[in-house]
Amino acid sequence: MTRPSTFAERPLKVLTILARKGTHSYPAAAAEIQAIFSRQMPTLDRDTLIVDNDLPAGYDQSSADGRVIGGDNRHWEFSGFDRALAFIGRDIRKYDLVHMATAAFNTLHVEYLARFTEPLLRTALPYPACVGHIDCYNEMVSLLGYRSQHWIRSCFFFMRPSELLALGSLVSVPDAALFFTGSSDAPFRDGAPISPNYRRYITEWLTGKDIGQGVRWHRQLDLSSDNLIEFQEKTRAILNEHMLAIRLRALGGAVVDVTWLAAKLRQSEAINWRTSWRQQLTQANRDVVPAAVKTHS
Amino acid sequence: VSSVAAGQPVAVDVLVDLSATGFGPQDVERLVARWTQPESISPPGTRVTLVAPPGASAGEPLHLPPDWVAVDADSSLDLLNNVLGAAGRQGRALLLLTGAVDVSGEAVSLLCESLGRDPLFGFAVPRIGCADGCCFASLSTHGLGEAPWVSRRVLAELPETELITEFLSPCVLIRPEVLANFGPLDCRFKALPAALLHYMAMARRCGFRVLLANRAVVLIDGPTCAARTAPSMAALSPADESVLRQLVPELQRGWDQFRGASWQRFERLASAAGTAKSPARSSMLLDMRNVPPSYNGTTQAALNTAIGFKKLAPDWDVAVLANDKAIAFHNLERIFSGWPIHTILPEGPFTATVRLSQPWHIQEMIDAHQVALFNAYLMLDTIAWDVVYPAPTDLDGIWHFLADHADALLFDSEFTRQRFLQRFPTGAAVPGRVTHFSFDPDEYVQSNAPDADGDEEFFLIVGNSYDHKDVRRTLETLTAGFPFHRIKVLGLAGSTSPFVTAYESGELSETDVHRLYASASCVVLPTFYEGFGFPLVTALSYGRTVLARRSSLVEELAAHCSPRGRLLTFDRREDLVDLVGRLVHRRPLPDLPVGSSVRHGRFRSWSDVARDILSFLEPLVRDPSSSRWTPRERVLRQLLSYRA
Repeated sequence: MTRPSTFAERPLKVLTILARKGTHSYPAAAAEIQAIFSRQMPTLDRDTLIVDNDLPAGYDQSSADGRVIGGDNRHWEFSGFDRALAFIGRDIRKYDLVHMATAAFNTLHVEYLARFTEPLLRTALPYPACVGHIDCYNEMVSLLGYRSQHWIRSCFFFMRPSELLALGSLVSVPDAALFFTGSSDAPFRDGAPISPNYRRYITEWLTGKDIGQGVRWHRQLDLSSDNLIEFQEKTRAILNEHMLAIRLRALGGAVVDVTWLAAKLRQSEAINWRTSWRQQLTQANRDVVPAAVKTHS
Repeated sequence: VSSVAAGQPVAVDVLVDLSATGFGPQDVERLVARWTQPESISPPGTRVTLVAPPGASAGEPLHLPPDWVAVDADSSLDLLNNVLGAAGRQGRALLLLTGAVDVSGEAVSLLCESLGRDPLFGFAVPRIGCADGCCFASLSTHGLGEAPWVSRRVLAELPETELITEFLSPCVLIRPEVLANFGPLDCRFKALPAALLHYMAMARRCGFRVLLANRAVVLIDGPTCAARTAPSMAALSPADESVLRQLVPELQRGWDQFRGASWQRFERLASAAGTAKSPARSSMLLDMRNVPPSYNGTTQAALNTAIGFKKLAPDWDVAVLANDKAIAFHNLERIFSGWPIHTILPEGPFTATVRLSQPWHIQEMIDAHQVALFNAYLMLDTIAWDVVYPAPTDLDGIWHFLADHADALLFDSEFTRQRFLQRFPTGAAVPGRVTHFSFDPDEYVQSNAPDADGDEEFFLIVGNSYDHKDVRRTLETLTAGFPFHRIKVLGLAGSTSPFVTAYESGELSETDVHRLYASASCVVLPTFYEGFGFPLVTALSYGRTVLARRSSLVEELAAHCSPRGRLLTFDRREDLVDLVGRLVHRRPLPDLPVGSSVRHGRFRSWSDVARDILSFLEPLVRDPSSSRWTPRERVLRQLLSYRA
């Protein structure tokens, strides 16, 4: 248990890694991130590295938004993040925190973005925490032998360089063949290391259904042979996102909901970094808290 | 017996041993509440056996979930045998928790996944984090005894997993095949730690090893890293230890020679940085073992650099390693009063070692490697390697190792840097810096020196008996050209000419040597090859006219020297005669510029040298990933295997 830190020292040094795929879909992503930092965290000392998965490996140019390098789209934003981390190399240790974002960060329940402040990040700095927005399913799922129900949205979160370095590659599900049949009739392979309810959640979510939380994906895929590859790739992105939180928890790290942490700081309450995600969500006055979570707490 | 397969859920039984904790019912129920959280150790269907401390359920029965069984006992041995056997018969893995361990289900699953990677991975153990999660306990031999806390950032420097030998942990996952074949625990042991080490050894003797999972971290209640050392998590009674060593004679060898000890040392050295809550002052071991009990260039370089550190009073803890005779001769205990002076390698750990001269033997580098993550070496020159005859055996191999595995290389001149990298190109990948020595005339001139030797004019030739100094042949040339001029020679055994006075190296006191510099009409430096050139700086500091053999080193140094003297250069001995003749007859001479890089009359001092070295090392040692310790350790193990 610790009291919120109020010390004022040198500005925190933060590296933003923004993963994007061209600028067609979200042309203002970098500017919107800049606006958030200017508004909420104006004293941070921040560098920006944009990894563009539409650009070839080896591309390296400066832009008004930051340095832009060519990415790797094999595993969507996760291979893009890996490319950026490899590019920055050991220099990542010069930063206090790494801010990871995707170009689509400003879609679907974005109220939490307003909670990030410099005092909040300073409070989290001494702990092996990933601070972002916790999402969850209504029930426990199983993936690659791990049981879990929650994760951090990979479109906007902060983590210390040391945790990122310990985690290594952020691509946890590199092999599509382990999961998929190649048929849109029954996309998941028998014996794939993913529980039946997780398969159902993913299928329903990606085909535009409500998975019991009153929200739907902003897109809708028809599960057909035409869309099968996209279904598989989006599924792997979901699984990679989930595995990031799972691996951080295995590493003894804390998955911290920014809205919960901001509420604790606002109330000047002591922070128990081992607070379960369920308690965080129920204590955080969050915009969306699944009923199933509330009944568990 | 079912097996553990990567990526698949594994059926795991759990035994929680709180028998030695002395916890009361409330403590036990608090822990049980944590362990029964959905993401903890007991998903539905997990059979959990809780060994509660005697009396923990003396009043009301403990409130436990349906799959939990609680037993009060002061020893868990019998119960563990039952659980081992049952899990083994049913092809389930067993998670053995000892004490108040906060284990996430994800960490347990990672241990399961790790075991699934190889059929002979018999046991998986995670790392133990402090209560706040900012540090982890470094390895101790077999998991016994205390171990320093290490900052979590060091985790990234460890491999994802490592195979070691018998190792106790508050959290151990045991493979079904092991459970099915190696029980029960040997009843000759009185307590669990020895019994479990023996059990692991029996499995290992059949091939089943312990896997250290460095990406699984479990936290323990209570101890924080405010104390520098994590508490002992297991200990052996003398009786148990005796039986264990009798039954497993290779126990220690397994740890020492099969990676355990290597990682233990790495983590111990990493602990020199302290913890997140209690950062340690940086510490440095100055290796001066190569300083002899006499005055020479190495003495001057190493001793004055160390004195520079002393004057600087840096925010580092500094210790000196030197030989007995040099300590006495140079009065090091007085000069470095307040610093520990060692004559044998101290235990450390130090943040860095700095060898204040070249390494001459591989053991010197092994020593440095043993006590610090960062090993820096000051290269004074590469003369011995080039001229061969005075070089120690296998110097080529030694310096290849240096170039491949040093963490930092310091050079006393750009000239030395270029010579070294030309000969050992892999050294270019090592962080390096040229740190010239002092050029400050006040640190070279002795105030009592200029009185001696009266008015008699003489040339002073400076060198020693090494061939590259070229003293004898230069003297022959000068005496032929100026047969009736007095010449004094430093570094020569003797001369037949009545006009020549020769002094062997070490024959004169330091003050007498300075008197010669102060009184000479000109100083001749015929050497072909130097790394720095103290005689040049000294002679110019005394305002002498110096005649030196031309080299880029002379030009490099002259720019920083005191301009109160003159500098003339020559390429051949015959040119020297011409130069001296012009000098004697006061004819025009092509002087080399001196002091062109000196700004505002301020000369580089020995304190600047020390400051320069620290400013180079400080950013380097802040990042443990920039240490080459791990690959160096691997190569040293290979070298040592040959030597054994």
